[in-house]
Amino acid sequence: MIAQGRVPGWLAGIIGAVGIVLLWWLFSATAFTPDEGTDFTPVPSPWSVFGRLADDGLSAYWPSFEVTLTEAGYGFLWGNGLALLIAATVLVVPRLEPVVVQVAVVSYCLPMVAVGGISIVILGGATQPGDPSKTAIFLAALACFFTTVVGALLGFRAADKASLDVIRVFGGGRFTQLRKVRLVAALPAILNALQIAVPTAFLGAVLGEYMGATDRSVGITLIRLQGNLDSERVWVVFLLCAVIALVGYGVVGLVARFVTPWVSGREA
Amino acid sequence: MTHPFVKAVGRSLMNAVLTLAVVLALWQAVISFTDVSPYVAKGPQEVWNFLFVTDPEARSTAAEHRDVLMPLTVKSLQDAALGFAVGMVAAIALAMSFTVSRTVQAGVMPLALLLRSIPLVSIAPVIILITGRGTAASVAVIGSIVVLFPALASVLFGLSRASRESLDLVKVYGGGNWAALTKVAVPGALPSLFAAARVSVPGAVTGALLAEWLSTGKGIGGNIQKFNAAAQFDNLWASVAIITLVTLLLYNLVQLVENVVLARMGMSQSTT
Repeated sequence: MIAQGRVPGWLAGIIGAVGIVLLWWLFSATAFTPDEGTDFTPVPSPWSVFGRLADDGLSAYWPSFEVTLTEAGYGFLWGNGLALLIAATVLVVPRLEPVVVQVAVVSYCLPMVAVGGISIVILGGATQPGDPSKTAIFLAALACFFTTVVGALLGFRAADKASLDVIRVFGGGRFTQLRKVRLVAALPAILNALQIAVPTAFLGAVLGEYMGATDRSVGITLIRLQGNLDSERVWVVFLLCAVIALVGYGVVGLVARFVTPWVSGREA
Repeated sequence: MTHPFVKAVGRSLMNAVLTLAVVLALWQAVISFTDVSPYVAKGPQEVWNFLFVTDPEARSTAAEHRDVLMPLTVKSLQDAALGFAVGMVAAIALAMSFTVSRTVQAGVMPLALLLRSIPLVSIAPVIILITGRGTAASVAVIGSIVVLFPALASVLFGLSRASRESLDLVKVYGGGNWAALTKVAVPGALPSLFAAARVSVPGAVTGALLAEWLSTGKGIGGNIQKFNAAAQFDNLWASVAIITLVTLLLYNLVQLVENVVLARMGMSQSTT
């Protein structure tokens, strides 16, 4: 990794992005030929997709994304909030840790699609067009629960033994230890977990929307467009999803770097 | 002599029992304390009865219920295995080929980390457009795409942590990049590889169910909507319970293999 003349990260990223667009273009140009009498191709060229996006304008897609982002946001708060709360019980009762981990693993092994099927019956979807779907919120919360529990537990274990001893020597109790050392030591791992939770919450929300019972959302838009064989718009929505996930991931990464400036040289 | 071993096994057994109790209690609590009609919501007891206890007055026997769900579960597991195998092989092959050249790796590593964070399953419709609806290819691609990118990022990371001294040693004795890869980097990446495999198990199942549901209409994933539409809530809850249990067992199996292999190779056990 310490190779000399190493390409800086941002440049490598740009080269990678250009490479992907070129690959996409090659793929679209060579892999599929439209059937007789139609111009349908599952992989439209990058230019036609970007052209479609420019024609429609971002505002045409915003209403669906607004709903999905709301759902992902609520799911993110619920899922991570519960995850942190449950992970924190380990601080009080350390012996619970294996059980907490196993319960988190069980939640991770729950089949999202099948649970969504149950949830759509019990919780239901959007009550009115434009409302967030409860099933989507639930699945978004479920999707990010496991990684945050594991990340938080990892963080709570990261406390420096010597620092804990220093506090005890100076007469501090367990609570002071928790406040001054454990939480600070746990922050990087927790923030890292929250960063990963951004795309997963988004994924959970979209999966929940596939279950139906929403009128306006990214998931239902994708299914409709696929049904209409409108491949250009399907690709536009896909690209916007990718951009949103990456922006969310990046923003939380920036916040993490700002909050925990002592963590340096991390790959992310 | 075996005292610490027995103690460790006993402790993990107790944890497993405790976990099962906690999960069942949570399940029952959700059923009991939420205001959901018992016609829709089924507790652990009801699912158990549905699968294993035949009520003499019921129209169908437990064996018939099992006969409905077993083939679906097997189909879903086959689909998951397909996605898992393709995804892991692709991830390992890509990671190894990237590592042979440092320049390629410098370009690919940020990209792999970037792609890891795009929720690719959520664009299953795009994949189905490409592979065609109902094809085995759509199952393989959706399943493997869930596995591929997280695994790729993890394996690349593992390979990049190869010990410099050992790499230098191989070079001094005249070994090339390939020798360095197979003799140093790959063994060193085993912990990351196992972690990737373990975490990919539930991912592959999710991918398979999604593909079945949106594309092939077979297996558990393809039948969720049908159970819902036909108000067969026993089937619905039972299939969730079965899939969760099987996934959990597979996950713990990979973890067991991981612990044994890493212990034999003298590597410290990786954290969860």
